[in-house]
Amino acid sequence: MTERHNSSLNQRVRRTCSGGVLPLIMLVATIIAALILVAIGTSLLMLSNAKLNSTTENIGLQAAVQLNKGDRIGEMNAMIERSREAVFTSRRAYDDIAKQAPHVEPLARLLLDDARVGATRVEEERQLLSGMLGKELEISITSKVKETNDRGPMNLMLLTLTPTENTIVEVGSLRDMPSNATAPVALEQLKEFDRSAGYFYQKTDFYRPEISVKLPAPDNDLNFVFASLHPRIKDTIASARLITPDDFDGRTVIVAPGRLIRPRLHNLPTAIRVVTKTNVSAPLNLREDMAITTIVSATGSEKSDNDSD
Amino acid sequence: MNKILGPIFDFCGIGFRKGRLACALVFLTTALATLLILQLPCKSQSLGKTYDYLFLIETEQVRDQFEYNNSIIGPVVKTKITYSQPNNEDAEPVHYEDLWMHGWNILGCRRMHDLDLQSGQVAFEVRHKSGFGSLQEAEAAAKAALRLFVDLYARRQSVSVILVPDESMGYMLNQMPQAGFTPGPESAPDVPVYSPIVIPIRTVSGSQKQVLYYTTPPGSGDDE
Repeated sequence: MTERHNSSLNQRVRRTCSGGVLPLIMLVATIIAALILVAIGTSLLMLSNAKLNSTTENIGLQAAVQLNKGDRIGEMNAMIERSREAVFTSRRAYDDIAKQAPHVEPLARLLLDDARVGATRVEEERQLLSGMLGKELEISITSKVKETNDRGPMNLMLLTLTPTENTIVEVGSLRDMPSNATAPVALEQLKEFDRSAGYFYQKTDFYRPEISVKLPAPDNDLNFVFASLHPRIKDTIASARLITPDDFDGRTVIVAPGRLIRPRLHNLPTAIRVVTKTNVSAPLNLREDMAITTIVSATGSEKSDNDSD
Repeated sequence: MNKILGPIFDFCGIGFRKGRLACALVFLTTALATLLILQLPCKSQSLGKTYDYLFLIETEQVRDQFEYNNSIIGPVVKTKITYSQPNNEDAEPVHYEDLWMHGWNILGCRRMHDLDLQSGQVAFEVRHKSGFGSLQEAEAAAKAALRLFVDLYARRQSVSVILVPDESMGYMLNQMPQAGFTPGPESAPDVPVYSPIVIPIRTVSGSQKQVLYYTTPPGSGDDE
């Protein structure tokens, strides 16, 4: 009995002397608390990131829908193709008339000159529309950003998100995307010329975008440039959507922090990159600017030029 | 038939018997003329049957395109050109081309088919999809008719007549001198015409009839 008592006493003494359970528990508790804090912090950051992403994506998508409102880019592309056909057919009629009926040559020449003037006007319209779209985008995105800023900072438990006006907007086009303009239907000669000149996108009948698609001489002084735009495939119209940086061919910055750019756009924009910056502040005076980038493409063309209406 | 003709014969018999020969003759002539008119086809049918090819030039104002401020090319009028063979019931109408115009100026063309015509009489008929022609639509129709005329002339075919809606006649005639076609009255058969091309133009109702005499267009350099 005495022996057992002694052994139990020894055990207790040993525990008292060398036992570190309490510090161990405290250490574990601290680690767990730190881990929880890190988890909360990370989830808050992710939450704020998702929130900011969603806001920027919303701004970008609204602008992308606005970009091809009423299929104006698609219509412009189609009109550029029709304008080429008008010049080509007028030239062919002029050549035929000059050979066969010289007394009507002045009339054929008048019609040819008229078609050439029409082509120049269509090109002017394309440039006018490019400028107009750039201006519209600038106004639309900056007003949306301002609207978000006016709502004030957003509190997310320990974090405070304060949107800034440091926005960057860059316009460009979709990489590896043809235009919605299609090859001539009944002008085999022109179609063959275009095919041999490499004007068609891969093996399709859609024209390649953002190159000068010339006519055969002597009308090769005229400029025809298509914009890349998702064509309508059967009954499917591509909606405005998010794209990856690899698919974006950025050309011109139209909004940059602290300065008014108002650039001259030479091509019709069909994709937009929006970068918004938000100041994230946490307790202990921790501050960081978080940049969110969204790249979106415009709605595809609604109409095919081969539609008979 | 006997029910209709019986009273007429009875009446004539009475007319003869009573010595009202003149009255009966007038009545008979009127009845015969009425019958003949009823036997005639309606205007659009008879119009086409006279020609081997009828080109329909149909204009339509395009809505919601290029209608923003400062647009250089809006409003746009689309002109659809189809041709048919009224005397050949088996021949389907052919969609030749679509043209896009801004008033008198051509902006674009989409050729849908070749001009596969045999020799024969050709007529143009202008129609406005809305039912009434605005100035822009009449200008577009005039330019479309001229382009079509040149396309046909290059294939050694001429136009026998251009038929236009009554309300567009004035607008179209005003545009034609820009292309060298001067409108004027139809000349008497014994009066020589000093013009290489003469195209009659008349309203669909037949109320107005003019002739377009071709001279060199102004400013073409061949005036003298």
